[in-house]
Amino acid sequence: MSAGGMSNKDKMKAKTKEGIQAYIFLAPTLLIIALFRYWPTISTMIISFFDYNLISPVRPFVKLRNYIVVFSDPLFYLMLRNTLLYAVGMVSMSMLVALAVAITLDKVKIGVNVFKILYFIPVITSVVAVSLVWQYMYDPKLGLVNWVLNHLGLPSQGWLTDTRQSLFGIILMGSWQQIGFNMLVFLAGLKGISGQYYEAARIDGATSWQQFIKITLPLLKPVILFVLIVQTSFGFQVFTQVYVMTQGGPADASRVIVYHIYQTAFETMRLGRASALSMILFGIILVIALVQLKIIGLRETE
Amino acid sequence: MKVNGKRFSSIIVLAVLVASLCLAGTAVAAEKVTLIYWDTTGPEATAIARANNFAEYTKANPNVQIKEEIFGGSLSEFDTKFKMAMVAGKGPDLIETHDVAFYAYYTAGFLQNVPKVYEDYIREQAINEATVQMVEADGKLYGFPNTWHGVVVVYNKTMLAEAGLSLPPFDWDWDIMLDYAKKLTKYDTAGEVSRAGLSLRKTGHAQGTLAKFSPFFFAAGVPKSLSYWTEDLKKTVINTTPGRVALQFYVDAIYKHKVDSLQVKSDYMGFAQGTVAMFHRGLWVTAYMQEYAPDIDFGIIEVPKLEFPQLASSIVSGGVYGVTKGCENPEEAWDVLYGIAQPEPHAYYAKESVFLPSFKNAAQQDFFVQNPMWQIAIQQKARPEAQISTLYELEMVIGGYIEKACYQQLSVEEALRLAEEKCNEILAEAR
Repeated sequence: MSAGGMSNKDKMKAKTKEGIQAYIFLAPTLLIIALFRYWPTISTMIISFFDYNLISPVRPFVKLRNYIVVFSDPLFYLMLRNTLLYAVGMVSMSMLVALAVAITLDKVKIGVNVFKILYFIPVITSVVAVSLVWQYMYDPKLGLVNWVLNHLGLPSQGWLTDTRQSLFGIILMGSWQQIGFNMLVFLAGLKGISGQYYEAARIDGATSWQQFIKITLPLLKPVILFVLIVQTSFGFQVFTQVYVMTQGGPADASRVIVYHIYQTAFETMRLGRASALSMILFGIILVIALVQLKIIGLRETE
Repeated sequence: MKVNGKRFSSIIVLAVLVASLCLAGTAVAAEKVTLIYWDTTGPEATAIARANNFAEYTKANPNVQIKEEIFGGSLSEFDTKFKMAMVAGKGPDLIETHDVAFYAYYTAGFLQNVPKVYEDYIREQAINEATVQMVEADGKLYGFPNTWHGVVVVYNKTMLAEAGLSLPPFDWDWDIMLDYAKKLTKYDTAGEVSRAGLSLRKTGHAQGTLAKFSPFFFAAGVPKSLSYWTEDLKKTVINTTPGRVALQFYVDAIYKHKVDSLQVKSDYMGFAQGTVAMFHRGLWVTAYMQEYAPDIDFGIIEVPKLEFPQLASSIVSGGVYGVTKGCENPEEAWDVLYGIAQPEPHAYYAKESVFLPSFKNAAQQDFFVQNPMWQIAIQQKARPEAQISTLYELEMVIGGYIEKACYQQLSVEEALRLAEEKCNEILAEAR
């Protein structure tokens, strides 16, 4: 027994009681997460081993057949390629532009909030609404994009009607919509970098570029990693833009994995096969996230 | 005491009167039936005709109320919505959609069978065999036929006149149609098509692409099964001479004759914008044109045939009404469908929507009898959709490969070979 206070036994009891209370408070949230996050994932995994048709009472266990069918379909590799291209294109474009904008805004003294709002409006606008507007903008005859190109002396493009351009058109639109979110996160990260580093670097004669490479980028690494992982995950799950603008066309040129999952599950009712594809996509995103964490790393930078 | 007794009796009588009024009201309220009806949007004329028919019915049958829930989007989106709703137990009482989807609904157990009394009416008044065949399985009917959908070529009369062309003749063939298309096509300074002489449906939702391909497929030659499938429904016949000839026609229109283009706005939207001189689509599109492009002077004509003129190449699908398994008032529901299938409302709906009537008594209405174009269309032999539960998926596969051939991602032969392979796989799995 310690002098002048609670006994060790009493301290243990108090800690246990606190722990139980903590779990009780956490329980509702954990229940919701389990119900709406983990249970659907587990269900999807289970269903992927069945020939599960939503409108048929007969749903036999087929082991790995759904996975075999997916992997032996040439369309899967086309979708994978399109999805990868979209993710890489959208992430790199939106991050590079967002970083440039954030660095510029970090130096601006007046009207920063106005710019922040303007850049963030696309982020909070409905993806369906944005997709519809961009669809009209891409119209080969009446669209704004071709009008601008023509006025710059350039020929009209097919955009969403051209198999070589439809995916690029969606990447451009997706990047535009994500710039605001990335910019805000980068800006917050930049505000967290002490000005003393830059002052010291200036005294040592470092150029702006050297300051950016040696100070800004390394200290911004955790933020960059966060944005990279989040946006890559979003990129791999692209769906609404494709659904609204191209329906995977023309001729599957913009068909992506999630759009195919939707069609397989809800148009052809093959929920088993769609679940297998979902699990494959889950695996891909997980591996990529782990690779990103490994390559970029979480080491603290001095 | 006497006064109190009188007052007490009055109160009792009043109470009894009030109670019986309430009970009567409750009884009346209990008899009133509300039926939920689902359908997709279409031209305003169709919506008005349908609403008027329902209104006339409910006027004559005040105990029935019909609540229309009409959904925008494509037929496939509506199909998905309906299936999900039925699985969740939240479906409507009545539905109308095209026959491609109906057999799948029947095999899924979503539909009630037509009662004998209405079945007799359908069999007696059906305008052709296909009207019954499209809703019959296991000797019973599972749907109430609505109207037939024909595909026609729509042409811009002003553009024809500017090109010095007379109106297309009724007995035109593919060569004549191509000749018209060449004279109507315009090119830009780079030699690319700026106005398509003939816009064929090459892209968009794959199932719709195949529906518009049908007139060309069947015009190019008729398989023994009169269908895209063998008679035993085990294989597809798309990779046969009619398929190759028809698809080659599509591809040649774009790359050899240059009367069509993948870049130019196509179909009825292109027609309304002036980038298309002729296109082919369901008859119903004329109602849209009247609504959204009233300044365009247009005409319609049958899709030309190559051979077998007695077989309809233009009637591609039928609309069907159904009463769902979840409907708690099937008697009233079937009576509604029977009511609007009577000659006057049915003919009115067909005429306003520019669909073809499914019943003989409606087709004998003056409007149809006196109009030669309608008579030609009505007298054609319609072809019902094959009763395969995965028909939707099959049509999407073929439509997808048609698109790939048009974009030259695959040759015509390769596209049809792959379509055949994939379809046969799906047919082998279908239960």
